Amino acid sequence: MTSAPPPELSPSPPAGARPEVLVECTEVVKTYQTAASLLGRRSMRAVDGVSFTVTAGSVMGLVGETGSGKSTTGRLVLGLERPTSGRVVFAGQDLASMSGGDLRRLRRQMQPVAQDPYSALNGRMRVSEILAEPFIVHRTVPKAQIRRQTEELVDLVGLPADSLDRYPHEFSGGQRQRIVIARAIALQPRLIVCDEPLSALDVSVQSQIINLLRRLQAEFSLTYLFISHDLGIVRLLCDTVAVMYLGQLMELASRDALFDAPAHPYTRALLASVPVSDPLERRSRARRPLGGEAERDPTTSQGCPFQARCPLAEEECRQRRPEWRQVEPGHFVACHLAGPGHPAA
Amino acid sequence: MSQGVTDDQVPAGQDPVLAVEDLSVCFEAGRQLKALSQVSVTVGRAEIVGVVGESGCGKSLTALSVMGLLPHNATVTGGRVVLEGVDLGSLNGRQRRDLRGRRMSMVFQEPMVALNPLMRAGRQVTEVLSVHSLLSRPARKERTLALFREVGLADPEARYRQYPHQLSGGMRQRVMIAMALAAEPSLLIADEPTTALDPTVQSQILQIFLDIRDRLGTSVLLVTHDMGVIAEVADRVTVMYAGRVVESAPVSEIFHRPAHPYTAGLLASIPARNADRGRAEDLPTIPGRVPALGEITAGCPFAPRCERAQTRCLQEEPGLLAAGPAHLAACWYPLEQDRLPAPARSET
Repeated sequence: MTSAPPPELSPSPPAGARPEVLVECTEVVKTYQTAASLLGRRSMRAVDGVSFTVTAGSVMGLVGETGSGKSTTGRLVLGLERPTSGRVVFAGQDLASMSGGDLRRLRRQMQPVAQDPYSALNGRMRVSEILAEPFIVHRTVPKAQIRRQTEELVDLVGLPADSLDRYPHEFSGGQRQRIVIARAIALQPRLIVCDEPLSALDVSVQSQIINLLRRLQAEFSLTYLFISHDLGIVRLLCDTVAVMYLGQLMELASRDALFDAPAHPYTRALLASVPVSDPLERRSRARRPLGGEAERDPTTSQGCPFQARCPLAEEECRQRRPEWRQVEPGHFVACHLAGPGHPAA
Repeated sequence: MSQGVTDDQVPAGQDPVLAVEDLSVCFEAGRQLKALSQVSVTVGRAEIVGVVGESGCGKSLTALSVMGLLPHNATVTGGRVVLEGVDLGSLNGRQRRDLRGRRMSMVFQEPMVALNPLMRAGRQVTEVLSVHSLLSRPARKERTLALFREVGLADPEARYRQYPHQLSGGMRQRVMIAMALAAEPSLLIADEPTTALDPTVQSQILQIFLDIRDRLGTSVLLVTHDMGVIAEVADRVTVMYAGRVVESAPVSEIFHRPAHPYTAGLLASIPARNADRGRAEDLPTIPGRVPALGEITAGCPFAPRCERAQTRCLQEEPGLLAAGPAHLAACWYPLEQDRLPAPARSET
């Protein structure tokens, strides 16, 4: 494949002057083998040459539709999957070079919060046991102090103190997600990878959890990688936003730049598909939803993955994969047509 | 036009296509649990009525009651469902089955579950036509291909021969809508039809509902948890909470002059409405959570979560009261109580 050059973000920022880079992905590729057929094995690039950095203490949104590779990227960052090629560096250490105890110690600093709080908790364990487990596994706290730690955790996430002696099924979806979050912050991690943490929740409960995530982030200077298909929520939580499509990064920018001046046609289509928040806006919006769906074309790997649906696609888009380039400071786009003087601008 | 006078005597949309009147449904689970309490919803001709609420509010159960597809442990304990003047409760099973599919049909959230995985997409639709129409076999195929085009399926001939697993989520949902439209029903019931879909596909599917309303005059009862979906397509809105209708009004009234504090809370939770808010500032929330069946106590079911609640709210359940033109709200202390009285013109 034609690999995009790495972004011009500093690979090793000196401590002090510049904000610390907590996560750095460089040219990360993750390939899965799909069913073998008469024609031989096929492989599918779930993540295809992705490069980005996450600054410590910031919230980065990772947005995309089904099959965009956003969840796989989250698992790669957590070290739950090994990249086929490319590097994932966390706090200056290459995850692939580590194993055993070192990896476990590093993992302590990164925690997942998954979508479904129903399957993320062991139904046979009391909340006190669920929350004590990280301390026991990582032996960070003497046994005698565990109970007090769990009491603090429950309080931090806004659950009543008597929650500790109850079982997950006694809680609502929102409360369960609070338990999952409490477990995630137990070991005082630096990074939390949230994968669609709100989509199983009722609307009125979503804002409660958003408020909780924001409060914890400010209080503990947490870094979030926030994976979601919901641009409305991403806008509320994130400092920077990366947009993925069929395994590749399409655009990465600060939140304001991405929402106010999106450079990639796919980002624009995605923004246009967010439902209006007022029926009066119906008329004013372009009534031309993007056609088609995100589908991999197994016959070709060249060109831009979005070209089949792109209203602006030209011959070059079918021939050559766009490089990942910076159009404004901190604003990266993979599109031949983006940038000053181009039709996508 | 000479016919104009007579036309005017029949106000447009006077007879609703669907009228759910004071419908109550109970679940039998050791004890009787009331799941729907006197729910009333009407859908006019070529109108999209959104039923919105959170989990357990009874919105899906309302849709299933209309279809006559209630789960076995649920029974209708009061009220009635009238479809184009016919009381569905007065029909026997056979008559009811005949109506289902022909005069009303349903689109579900998860097309992979609702479609027959062993049957090609085309056959799923021609089968509906063989039950509900007198068309010949070649005519059924023609009609199916036309329906596929109607719902925006690209390359209908190819889709006709494919199995559900060979189709994307959006295509499956289109096949299901084609199936639902096959017998040209007056009423389409759609239960969270876009919830499982990607955002760009969601807006395509919502566009189909607008198209069939405008081109075919189909009425739609659209069940959703998403105020954004309501804002995109609904003409009128019914807000449900704890098995009750708490507010009902034209869509612009709901969004601009909500009378029930719960509706206002749902609106405040729309992310886009908070985009300009400072990051340090908390988002507005509705405290607490949706009550489970059997947790509902006396008084207004929303009172425990309502910051406007007063003693009366905890003791006495409010019925639906006029809150404006064609606007009803079940609240003792509705928002904007003291605004100017509504114009005298009444709409039903």
